[in-house]
Amino acid sequence: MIKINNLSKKIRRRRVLNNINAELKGITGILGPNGAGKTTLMKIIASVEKGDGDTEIIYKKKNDNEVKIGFLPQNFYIYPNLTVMNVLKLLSTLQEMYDEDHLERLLNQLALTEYRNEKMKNLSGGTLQRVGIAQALLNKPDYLIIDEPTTGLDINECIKLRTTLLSISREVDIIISSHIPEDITSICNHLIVIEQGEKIFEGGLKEIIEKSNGLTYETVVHRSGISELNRIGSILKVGQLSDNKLKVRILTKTPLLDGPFKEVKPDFLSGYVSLLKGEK
Amino acid sequence: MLNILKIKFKGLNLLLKLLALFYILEFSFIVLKVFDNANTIFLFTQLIFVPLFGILVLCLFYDLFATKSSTFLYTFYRGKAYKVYLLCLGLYMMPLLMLCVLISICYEPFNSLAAFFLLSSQVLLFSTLSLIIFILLSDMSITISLFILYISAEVATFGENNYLYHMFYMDLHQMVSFSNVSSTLVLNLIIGLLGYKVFKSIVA
Repeated sequence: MIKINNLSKKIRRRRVLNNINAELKGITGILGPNGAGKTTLMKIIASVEKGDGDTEIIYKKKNDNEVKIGFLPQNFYIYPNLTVMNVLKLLSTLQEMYDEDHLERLLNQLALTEYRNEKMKNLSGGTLQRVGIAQALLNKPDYLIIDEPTTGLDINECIKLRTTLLSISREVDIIISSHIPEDITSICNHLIVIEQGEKIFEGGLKEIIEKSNGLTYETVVHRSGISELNRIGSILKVGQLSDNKLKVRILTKTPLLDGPFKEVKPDFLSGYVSLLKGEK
Repeated sequence: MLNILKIKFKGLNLLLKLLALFYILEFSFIVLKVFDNANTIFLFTQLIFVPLFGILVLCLFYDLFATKSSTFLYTFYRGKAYKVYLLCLGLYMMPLLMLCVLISICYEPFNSLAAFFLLSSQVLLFSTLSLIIFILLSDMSITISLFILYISAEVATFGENNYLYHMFYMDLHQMVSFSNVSSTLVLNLIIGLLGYKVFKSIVA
């Protein structure tokens, strides 16, 4: 478990994070819109950057050994002219953790064996991210901190990466940040939502879903009626029924109940949006 | 540390090949006595190998100072970057010592030790200043352009421009000896060591 106390950070006089207190346990997801301060928060947790003033990060240890952290930054792309194997060798040597067997195990675990002699510049986005995870696991960390791992990946690569993270989560505590709710719901059991540098939620997935109880509706509208719906609430999902008819899921406090609106069971997305909109 | 250098050099193949080519050419020029004057060949040695080491260290630390991953990679290099630099400097100077000895064998009374120390001080000064400029600007092309400008100005004025610091020994008549190069050597060394101190404090 990682305990964060009074975490604040100013960058060029702009307050990016404001007095965040949280406990990161199990597989924690940090969710928030773009520019919320997730990357800065992740860098501070990973000790790449320092927080301001009274910031305190307490890493609870499982044993007496030093706490080790693996970090995968956003847009991981380094040493384009080196092969995957050489990059991993270089980074493990720099950490003084070079272990041939462990390296081979990681290549196997992350399905990178066939890419070991491939140059970094020739890898796809998904493979690059897996190399990124491999480098983060080089020091056999207690905590794996991953910043926006699915940015720029296609749907297949996203699914593959989430599966990989799930399999790794058995061995190491993972803290993952994302602005994509699916990244979080697929693997996390604890969640922190930040917006404009402030923590606005901490808890389980269930609790966030409950935030939109009684606020989630579905309706069928003509294509031209979409703008009308936008005025009364936040559209969560649009499905096409025919050329002109759309099935819309909407988050609203004021549904036109005499119309064709039907209350539906809320899901994670509706809970997350209601949180961001401050609906409840 | 040697393993780190070995792997990093794999990404600098072209530059290392160029370096090897210059060594071979210089070696041949000395053995074949292409130039009558030892100072001419020593001047070429300075003008080729001093800036080349500057470029080599810029490429070596490019990842650390000029990429989006700099802050992330910095966590790996903490306390090691200056050791990598020193090792690279040591390895680079070995063949240069051989060149200096070879010049003294082929062209008497050339003082190989004085030449080697002078060359070492120039390499130290040039590389540390290049690194500091590179760290400040985070741009390799501007850094290289600046030192091309400096070398061009030095060559064009043959080391007599009053507004420039003269790190090279450009006298073609007086043979290289400790008495001739001592003032340049000491000044280079002082500025070079100061530069190294600044570089070390930035990366440590």
